[in-house]
Amino acid sequence: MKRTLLIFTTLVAAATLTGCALFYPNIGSNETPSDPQNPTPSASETVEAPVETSTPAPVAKELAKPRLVFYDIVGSNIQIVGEVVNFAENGGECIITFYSKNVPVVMERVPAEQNVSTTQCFPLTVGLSRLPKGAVDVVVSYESARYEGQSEITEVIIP
Amino acid sequence: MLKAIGKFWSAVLVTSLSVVGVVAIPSEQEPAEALNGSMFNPGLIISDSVFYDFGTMTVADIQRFLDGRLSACRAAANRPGCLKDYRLSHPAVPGSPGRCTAMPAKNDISAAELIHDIGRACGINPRVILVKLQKEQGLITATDPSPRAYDFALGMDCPDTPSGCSAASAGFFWQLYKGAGQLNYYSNPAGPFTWLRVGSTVSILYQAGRPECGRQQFVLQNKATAALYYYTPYVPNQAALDNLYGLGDRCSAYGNRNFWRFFSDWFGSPIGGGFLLKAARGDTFLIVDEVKYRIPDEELLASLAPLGPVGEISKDYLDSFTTVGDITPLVKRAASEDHFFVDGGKRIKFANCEQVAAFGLNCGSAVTLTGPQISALAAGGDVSNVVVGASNERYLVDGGTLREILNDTSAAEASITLTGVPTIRRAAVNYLPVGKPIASNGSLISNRETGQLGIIADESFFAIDPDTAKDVNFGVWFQGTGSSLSPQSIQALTSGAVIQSIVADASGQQFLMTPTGKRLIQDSANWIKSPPVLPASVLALIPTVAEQLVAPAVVRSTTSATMFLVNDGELRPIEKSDRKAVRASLADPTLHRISPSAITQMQKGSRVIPPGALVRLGSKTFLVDGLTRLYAIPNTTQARALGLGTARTVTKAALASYERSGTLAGVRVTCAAQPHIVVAGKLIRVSAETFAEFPTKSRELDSGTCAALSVSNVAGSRFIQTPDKKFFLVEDGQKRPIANQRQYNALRDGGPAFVAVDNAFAARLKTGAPVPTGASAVRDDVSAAPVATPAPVRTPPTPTPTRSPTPAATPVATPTPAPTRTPAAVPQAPSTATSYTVKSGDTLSGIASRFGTTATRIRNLNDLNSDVIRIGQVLKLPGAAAETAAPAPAPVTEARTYTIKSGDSLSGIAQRFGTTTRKLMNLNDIVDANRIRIGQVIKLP
Repeated sequence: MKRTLLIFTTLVAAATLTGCALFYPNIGSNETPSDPQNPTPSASETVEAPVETSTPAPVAKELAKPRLVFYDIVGSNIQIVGEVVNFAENGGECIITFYSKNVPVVMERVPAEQNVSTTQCFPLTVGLSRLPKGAVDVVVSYESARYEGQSEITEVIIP
Repeated sequence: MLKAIGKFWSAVLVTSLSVVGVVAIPSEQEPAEALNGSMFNPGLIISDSVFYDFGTMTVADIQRFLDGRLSACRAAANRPGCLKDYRLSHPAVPGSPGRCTAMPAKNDISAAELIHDIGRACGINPRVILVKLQKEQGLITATDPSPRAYDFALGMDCPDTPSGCSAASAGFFWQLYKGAGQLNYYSNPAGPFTWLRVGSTVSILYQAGRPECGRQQFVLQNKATAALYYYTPYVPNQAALDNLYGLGDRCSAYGNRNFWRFFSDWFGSPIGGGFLLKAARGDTFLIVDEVKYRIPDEELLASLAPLGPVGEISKDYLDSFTTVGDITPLVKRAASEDHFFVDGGKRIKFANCEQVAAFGLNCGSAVTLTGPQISALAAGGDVSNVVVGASNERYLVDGGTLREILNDTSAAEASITLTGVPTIRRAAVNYLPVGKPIASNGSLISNRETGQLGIIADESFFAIDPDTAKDVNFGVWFQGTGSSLSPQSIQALTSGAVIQSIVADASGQQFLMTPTGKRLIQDSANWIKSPPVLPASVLALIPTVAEQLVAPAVVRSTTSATMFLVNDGELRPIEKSDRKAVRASLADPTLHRISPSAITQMQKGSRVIPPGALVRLGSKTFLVDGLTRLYAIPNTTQARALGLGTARTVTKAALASYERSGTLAGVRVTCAAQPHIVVAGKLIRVSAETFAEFPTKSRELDSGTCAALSVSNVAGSRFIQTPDKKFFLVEDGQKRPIANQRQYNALRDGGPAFVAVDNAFAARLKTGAPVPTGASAVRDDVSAAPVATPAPVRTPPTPTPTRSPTPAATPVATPTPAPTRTPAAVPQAPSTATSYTVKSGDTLSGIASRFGTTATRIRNLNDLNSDVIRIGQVLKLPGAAAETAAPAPAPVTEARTYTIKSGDSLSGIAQRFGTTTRKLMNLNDIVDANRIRIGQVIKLP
């Protein structure tokens, strides 16, 4: 009986912790906030909402992890949307590059904005006439004062 | 064994989840039905109208909610405490375009107040914020939340990296300000969050970092759901939905599932309205982008149903949309010239703006719908100029009015072309005024709602009285039987008279409607006072039957045994016991059967009392004379003299149709202008000369009354015999004794015999001087004059012009005894003298003597009330009096004609003028004696 109770208690404790992590994705983390430069403001002054923007370039930029989250061919255009998954900041740019047979055929830059937990590239719309028909590789790159990096290749079929 | 383990783990899980407050505790607003995963729609997790409704809760509401979610707070002293008790201060913020408006600084406010303020500043439903707080950190139900739970309450700015959340967004205020602002910003088309397009099929991952788990594709239905996916880019898989309050599998993500579940459990369904919104009270609006159009009627609202259910939102949120005006059924597709009429959930295409104008609409005022809104309305074909009502009735839409089409024949007669297949319902064009219907002249129709029958003629509607419609089948004469029109169409017509059983034409000629046609009424004035007047075009369609009607007429309803007399504009019932007597008093006793509705239509009078009847009203007694007149009878002696029976007691109402015409107190009456004296219960006919000798005022009796009274067959004379066998000569209102039988015989000289009178009669005549012996015979040639002949009766000596009336010749001037006043003693007056002008010194008796007549006769002839005369007065003398004083029975013209009056019958006229009905018929080419008309002039023999 004692053993059963011990097992039960252990399981409850485990399930409680597990449940917190599963159901509330941000609960239970004890990390120190990564950017302590913005202390909680007092109620006596009007302040702009604190934002995390790219800071002056360090010697070596941190790695950005962009990815292609969405593409859609509508009529005579293709829309590409990328995001950066490992931080949320304003001020950077996304570079969308189309490769045909490993040769870049179109490269466009779009701004990026902070989302909840990611950095969201503005959608890019490219005329299909600028692209060769058939398989084209798309790569999303990101550049900011603090981060840089590029995504894996995503193959897109141009009609 | 496995089952046992499963049950065990389930119990453990539920218990543990309860401890941390994950399992939903009973909500304030339970879902209408038990929540289950199959109810989750990934494309529509929450409606826009719910998501962005910032006005759903007050601070007190929020506080009450927080208090209700947590029964006991167990926060440690060094911890920030439970949300329901949490307080903070925050700085003023200037606002961020597309996210939140400015907020003033506040000190020491509750979490409830901040949630309320953030909802309003950032345009997000406080309920959404509450659910988000629970979904991200479990803050609503946490009994001892950590500082971090507040610092990153909405998970805003928390990348899934080892470095975790950014200090730039830490703190409860910034989390709410930034997080709610971010939710609002997702709908900003100027931002980067435009790629999850509403109405398109999107593909969302099941699980972060596990692309092998795959994606779900679905149609994204609104902005709010897109916002949830921008915020939490995962969709729950089936395992997560199957175990709604527990765990799924390794590919399960729970963020959006839990959002939906918490919201449903706490606040009811998050699915409210789409484009159609209303506040708790007031109108419903169509939301098009950021503006709203009032939907003015339920019909149009129903037609817009495909745009989604009507969502109820807070008034503040509703007011935040700019009101443009009312929406009409006319809508337009964005970036095109396609105009549509919205009806029954469909969009029906107009051919051009001219057709739009015919529907009373204006292309310039069409509401431009968004693509998804237009797409939600099914294509319904092209607009026709005909719309169809609920009873399949058709209307022509013409010049901004609705004209109901009675039938194809009517449309063809009006040269109207009906285009296309009707696609629009009548109810959808209720805003259009209803014009005159398209119906052939002479159409018989019914009111579709009331069933009221009527005839359309000359663009007017003549309703048919329902009772009349039961009696007369108008469908025999008018086309369109079975056709109906709406009340509004009928109202658009000029309202004509209500057709009843008795109608009139424009000249006033009345007709009685019968199942076989209209029956002419000869004397219209005696039937209906104000009959409905029908136009000739209607009357012409009703055949005229041969039989005619004339009052007084005895009538009876075809459905009742009650008999009536129609006379003088009244319908008067006849008691069964009186029928025979009443009909016997009429010239034409024919019984006419007429419709019940005609009986109803006529003005009712008091019941008919047979002419000649004696009635008592209170203390007064009356003789009923004819059908409308009463003579007061002063005493029972007079009643007996008239031969009247027992008086019947009546009420005042029973005499309503009768007119009192004075008192019948004397012994003189006329029947059909024939003079009679009233003696001992009988009327005895006498000559006009004899009549003039009797005293008392004469009264005229109706022929019907006379017929009811006892009339002697023997003509009377001026001689009377009293019960004691004494003879008298009646002269100048007196009875002059006659000495004996011999004298009587001498005076009579073979003329009419005496009248045996009773003492009552004798007592009414004063006794004058005895008739002198040797007086000349009194000739009274009444028998020479036919009873019914209105010709003047012969008179005794007439004045002659050869004997000028001088005072010397006046017998009065000499003191002669009374016998000088006998006719024999009267000097012969000039036979041609017809009048005399009164001179100074004249007396009435002197003039009478001079011209061989009596003062009484001159008085009667000149309508004098006394013997007073004046100089210069012109008196008629008996010579002329015979011509003029005899009562004229009717307006006889010089050429011996007679104009027929109300109440006349041919037989009555014949009797009055001493001829026969047959002779009058032959003379006037009359085929049917019953068919004479008032005003008709007939020749007399």
